Amino acid sequence: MKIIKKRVCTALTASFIGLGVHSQSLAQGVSGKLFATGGVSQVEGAGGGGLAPWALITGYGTENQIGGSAFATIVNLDDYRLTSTGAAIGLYDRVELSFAQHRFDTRAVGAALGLGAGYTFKQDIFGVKVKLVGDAIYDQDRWLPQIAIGVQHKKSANGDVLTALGIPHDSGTDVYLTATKLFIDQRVLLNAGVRFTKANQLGILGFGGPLNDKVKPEFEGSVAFLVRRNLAVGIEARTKRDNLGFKEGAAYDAFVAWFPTKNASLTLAYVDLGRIVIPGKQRGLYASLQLSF
Amino acid sequence: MKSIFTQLAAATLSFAMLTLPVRGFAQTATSVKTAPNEAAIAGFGGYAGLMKINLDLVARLKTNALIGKLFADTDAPRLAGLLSDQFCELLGGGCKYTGNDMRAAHQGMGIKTHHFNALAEELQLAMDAAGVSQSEQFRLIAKLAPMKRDINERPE
Repeated sequence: MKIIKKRVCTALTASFIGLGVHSQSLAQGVSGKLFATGGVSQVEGAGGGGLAPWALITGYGTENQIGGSAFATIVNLDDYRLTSTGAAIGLYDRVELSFAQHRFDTRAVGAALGLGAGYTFKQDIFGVKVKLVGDAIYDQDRWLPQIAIGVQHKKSANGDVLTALGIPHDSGTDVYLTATKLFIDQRVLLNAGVRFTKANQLGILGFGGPLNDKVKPEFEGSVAFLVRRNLAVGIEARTKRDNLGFKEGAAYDAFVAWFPTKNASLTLAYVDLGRIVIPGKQRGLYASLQLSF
Repeated sequence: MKSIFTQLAAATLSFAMLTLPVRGFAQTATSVKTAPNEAAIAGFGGYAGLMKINLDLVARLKTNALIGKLFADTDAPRLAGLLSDQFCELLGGGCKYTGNDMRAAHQGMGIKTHHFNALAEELQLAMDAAGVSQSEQFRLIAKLAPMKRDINERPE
């Protein structure tokens, strides 16, 4: 018990001190995973790529360590701006607990919809992910990927407006199953997942709608190529269902993730989130900064 | 007129100058192995390159804050030789690793993933220092990664 307490303290201290403590902290038994193998922070706060959660547990904690990550992401779209901030903790490379907050600024569209210019939808996302089987990094001689199951419970702060828009639920729980495999020799990471959800625009516009109010499976996947140990490029896709009749469609991105140090990453992406309420696809630049230990 | 001693001394000196480097070279040439298939490890500078990387690696391991004490009494050239044989074999160089199997060699040492990774990261630095390309580095790391199962301490 005392050892665990000491470990938690060490881990937390390291996270607050942040960069540059790696070589020292390693001696104390933190940040034991290989460079960049904790991944980056997914838009809903889970360890992953940008759009899709991966089966990897966030941070650098190995089987006897605690790891963690904190992130800030801005997605600057043609007509909206989404900011997502959050933090996650990885327990013994087995369980991941995450929290993220979304702020979706409707800018001029808010005025056109009668909500007021700059009307902002907010939601909180509480996530849990558990690694079930396999190891994405070490099982290089096996086909089995690392597989994890996760839950993201989302709660909108805009219940009244959602009700006025005819959206039945202001909270919802997504359940996802995700498989991740790194082919080190080929320098390729593959990830595929299925998410059972009835969220509209990740939950920013609530859950369910007149066209559908049932939980349905959606696909999400990532392909990444390791240019170097600290640099990956890739693409992602994530399908979304049109519950509201606004022709909501799939989201895509093409990303570059760079780890200038083991404990910091910067991800830049070009994203296409598809139609969001108004005609025309919402495209723009995605930028995410993550610190992890 | 030169004395016979001067001539003899000069002859001896020039003989020594000629032979010493040659003998030195001959010794190096016999102690450095070449792999049966050097082409498979060309990206590492052949067997001699692997040996150089592994000598650097063992020096780095001895000063590593986390796992240095495990290598305090290690015979550096011997371990570097074993690692070079092992890497050469894994990379298709046709060498034969003659050390203990991975499980036997690490039993009872309480090795965890972070210890294994500390070695892997030192190896990456040693390969960086030797100018090994990223693709060749990933090729070797891919072969070494599954060894974690045997090297790590199993839960009771």
